[in-house]
Amino acid sequence: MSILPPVTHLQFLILEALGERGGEGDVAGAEVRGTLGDHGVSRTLPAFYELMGRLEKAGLVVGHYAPKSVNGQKVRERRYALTQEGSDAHEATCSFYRSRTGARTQEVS
Amino acid sequence: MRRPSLVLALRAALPDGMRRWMFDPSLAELAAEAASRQPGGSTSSFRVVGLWMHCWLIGLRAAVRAAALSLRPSGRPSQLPPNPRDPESFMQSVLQDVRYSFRALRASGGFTAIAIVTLALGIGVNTAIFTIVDMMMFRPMPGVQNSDELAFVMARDGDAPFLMNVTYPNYEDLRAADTGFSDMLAYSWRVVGMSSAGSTAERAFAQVVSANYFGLQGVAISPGRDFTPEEGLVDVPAPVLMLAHNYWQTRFGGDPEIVGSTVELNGIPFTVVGVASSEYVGIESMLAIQMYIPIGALPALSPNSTGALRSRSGSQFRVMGRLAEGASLPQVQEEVDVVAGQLRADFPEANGDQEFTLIAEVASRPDPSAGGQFSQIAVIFGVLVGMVLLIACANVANLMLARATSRDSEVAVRSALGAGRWRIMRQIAIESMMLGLGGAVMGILLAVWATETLRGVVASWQIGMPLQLPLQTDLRAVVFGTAVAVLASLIAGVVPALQITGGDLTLGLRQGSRSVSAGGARQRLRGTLVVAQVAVSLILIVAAGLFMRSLSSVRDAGLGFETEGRLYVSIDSGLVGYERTEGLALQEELLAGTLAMPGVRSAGLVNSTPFGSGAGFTGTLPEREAAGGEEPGTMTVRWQVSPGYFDAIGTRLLSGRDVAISDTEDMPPVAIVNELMAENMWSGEDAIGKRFVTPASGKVYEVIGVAEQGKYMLIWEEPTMAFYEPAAQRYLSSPTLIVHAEGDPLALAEPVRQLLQRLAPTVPVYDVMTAEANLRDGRGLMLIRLAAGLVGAFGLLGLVLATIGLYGVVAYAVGQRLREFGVRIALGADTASVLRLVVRHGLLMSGVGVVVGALLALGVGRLMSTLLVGVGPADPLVFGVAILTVVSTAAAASLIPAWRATRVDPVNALRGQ
Repeated sequence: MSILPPVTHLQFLILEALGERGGEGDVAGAEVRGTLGDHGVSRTLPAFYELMGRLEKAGLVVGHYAPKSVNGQKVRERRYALTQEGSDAHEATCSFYRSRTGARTQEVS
Repeated sequence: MRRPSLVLALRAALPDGMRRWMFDPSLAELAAEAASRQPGGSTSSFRVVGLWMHCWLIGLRAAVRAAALSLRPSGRPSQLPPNPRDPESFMQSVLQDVRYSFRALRASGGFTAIAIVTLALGIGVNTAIFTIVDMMMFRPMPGVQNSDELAFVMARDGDAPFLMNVTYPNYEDLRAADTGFSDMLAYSWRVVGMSSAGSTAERAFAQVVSANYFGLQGVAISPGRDFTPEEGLVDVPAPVLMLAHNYWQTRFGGDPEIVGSTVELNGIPFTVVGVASSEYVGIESMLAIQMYIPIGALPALSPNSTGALRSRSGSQFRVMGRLAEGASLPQVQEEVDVVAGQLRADFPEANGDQEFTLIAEVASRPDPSAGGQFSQIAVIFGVLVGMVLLIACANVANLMLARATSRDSEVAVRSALGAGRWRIMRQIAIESMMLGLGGAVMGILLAVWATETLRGVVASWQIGMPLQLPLQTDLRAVVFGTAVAVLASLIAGVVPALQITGGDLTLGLRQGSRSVSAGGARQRLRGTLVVAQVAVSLILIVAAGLFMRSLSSVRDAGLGFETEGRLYVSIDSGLVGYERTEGLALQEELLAGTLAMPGVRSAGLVNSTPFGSGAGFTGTLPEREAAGGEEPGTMTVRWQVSPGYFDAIGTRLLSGRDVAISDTEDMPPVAIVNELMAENMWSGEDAIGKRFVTPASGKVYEVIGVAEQGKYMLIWEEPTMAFYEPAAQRYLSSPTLIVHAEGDPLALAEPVRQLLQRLAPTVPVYDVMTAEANLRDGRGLMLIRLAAGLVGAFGLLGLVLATIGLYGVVAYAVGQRLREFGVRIALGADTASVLRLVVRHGLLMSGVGVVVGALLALGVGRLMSTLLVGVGPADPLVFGVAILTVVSTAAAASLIPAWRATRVDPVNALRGQ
């Protein structure tokens, strides 16, 4: 088994956030950023979208612009959804942490 | 408010990846955030520029990280020394220097912050001034296709020093001739009374244009359509108009339904056919045109203007042409000269010695008749802001030298570990470049703020026509700001890099940092930089002082009228269809009613306020010279005034009499001439009773009085000939009432308004202001005020930066000499002598700077002399105050470290050694 998980902890948090909301369809970038903030991870707008861009380029998520009405004004927002590869990577990372924490638990016991 | 052009320019300046993955989604989120804060809100320019900068930082950081990962040695044993010729090793070492510099700058936060702010001030003012100069001199006309193919055609009478507009018949002949222009357009201006949906008439500034006006320029129309050729014909049955985009937004709330609807101009219905594109700001971009009307509608709009379309003697139209494919300006000029010759032969009376001069559109800004004066102003401002940048660079270089003192050991250690001089210099240069980049980010934001502020200031100017300054901090400004930042980094970084790495780098190890840092060469270099800063700041303060003295000397510059206690009220009865008889009756009643008000000393009417845009010119000749000749005469300012005008405005009548009620239309024409006209026409004789002619109209005037000389069009104009004729003999439909009040003139504003409301409720009243305000905010002083304000700010900025530099050098010198001061105090030196010692050091440096600066300021003053009023370029008061300011500031900057020197405890100082 590899000594590193398939994705970084930050990428994992994002996949996790998208996975949790997977049943409701895609998720707005602003909401994902908010979820990261709930986990104490603060990223500026360009830094966050650069991170999302790398996930898109890696094929783990897919993004698109969707129209939205705010106070009667039409704006657009970037929304993201998990791809199958993203879902697999998320699952593989969960397995990785489960196996590592399981091994540690066995050592302790 | 965020402007789309700024966003588009910034967006275009990003690599595709940054744009797609960072800028666009971030901007969308910012837009949603702005809309949620306030309905209809948009992202501010500051946030957009900040986001843009941030994208670059994140993108560059990601690129550096990716490069570092790709260059990470794989398989090579780590203990092998890198080969400096190996490109991978070189790249790695550069990245290492970038990381090291970043950490070093972060570790000394105070230094970094001061250096970045200092550079930002220099870069910011340079970028802001570049934005203005770019708009005025280089940038293609926004919203116009291939504006480099456009050229103005201006008329010139013989060797007259100024350029004139072209008559409409001459325009038609030029257009019909084969001149190398693919087509030509003509335009003029009119103030109109506009009302819509039954509202009260309001003044609007319209451009009267040929029907091909928009088509020739390639301006997009949206919503709506362009004028048709038929709509440009005279006496068109259904007149139309086009709205300017800004006016459409501000006056009609951007309502697209306005297209096809009707508004009334001077009481005549006009159909709105379209709105000019939002990018288009007009041919003369500083004039905020509100609507465009085809020339054919002019006679209907203003019956008095019918002659303007037929006469070859009233030059009212600006003419512009588009060069045909393959044609060059000199070739077309030759063809136009042929047409001019033909027109002179066909119409010798009107076109006597008239020639046409072609001026490329880009060389004609902001006004084709100004003859390129702006380039001189641009050079002066370019030199002044360049000086601010030099001071900022010298300051940062000084800070880096001071900081180098504490880094001698670090440099020595790196040198001992094998770093060569080039490698250490490179690291210092990278550090300086990073400071420059930080300065560029802040500086460009500062420039955005400065240009937005300036737009507001210009829009508030009152010169009788709406003004705008369509500045854009676009990609060109961003590139310029970045280039200035790179230049500033090089200037500020190279000198310290050379100095720090000069000599034996291992001395720091052998002797300890303290003794090395006391090097005299470094201290001398820092002293030289301070001398340069003081010199440049003195030049800036002198320049600001000269402009400020010009402002205060205006009243001594022979204005020829008084401003204290005067109120101006302008009306325009022509806009609501008043004919001559009704108009004159209204003017008489207005004068009589005003004079009857308590608190009014005198009152009079005139066709234009001083320095206003309403005064006219005409050629004049003494009657004896006019007999039988075709001489056009000397250009003379022409005023129409009512009885009482001279008393009301405070212009002295030197001899003869005032205009009287009896000087009516059916009486022989009379005039009051000014001193220069009397002297030029009848030197040594009494002008009263003499006669002169205006060849354009053939009218002969008898002189009834001589008035004192004054300033009429511009505050810095040379003495000009002028004459005043009775308003009853030359009717004016839009007079200005001048009221001389006993007390506060503004207290009379409301009674005059009420009087007008009673006499003529529909007549538009505008520009109600005191004469003081008119002089201050009007065309008379606006350029000097702007120059004084800007240069004053530069001077203050320069002085602050020079003071910081001087303080830094003196404080550092005191720090190095603490032991010496300790010994001196131990041997009995008193506080005053230590103070003197330190302050003398500071004053010596500033003294040298003052001498150098004063000599250079004399040269700069000469360069500015044409823009000064009532003050010489070497004004002793200005120089005295500037020198005193600099020297006293230098003394104050030296006093703080000097005081510290007197507080040295001799025991501690000696023990410390």
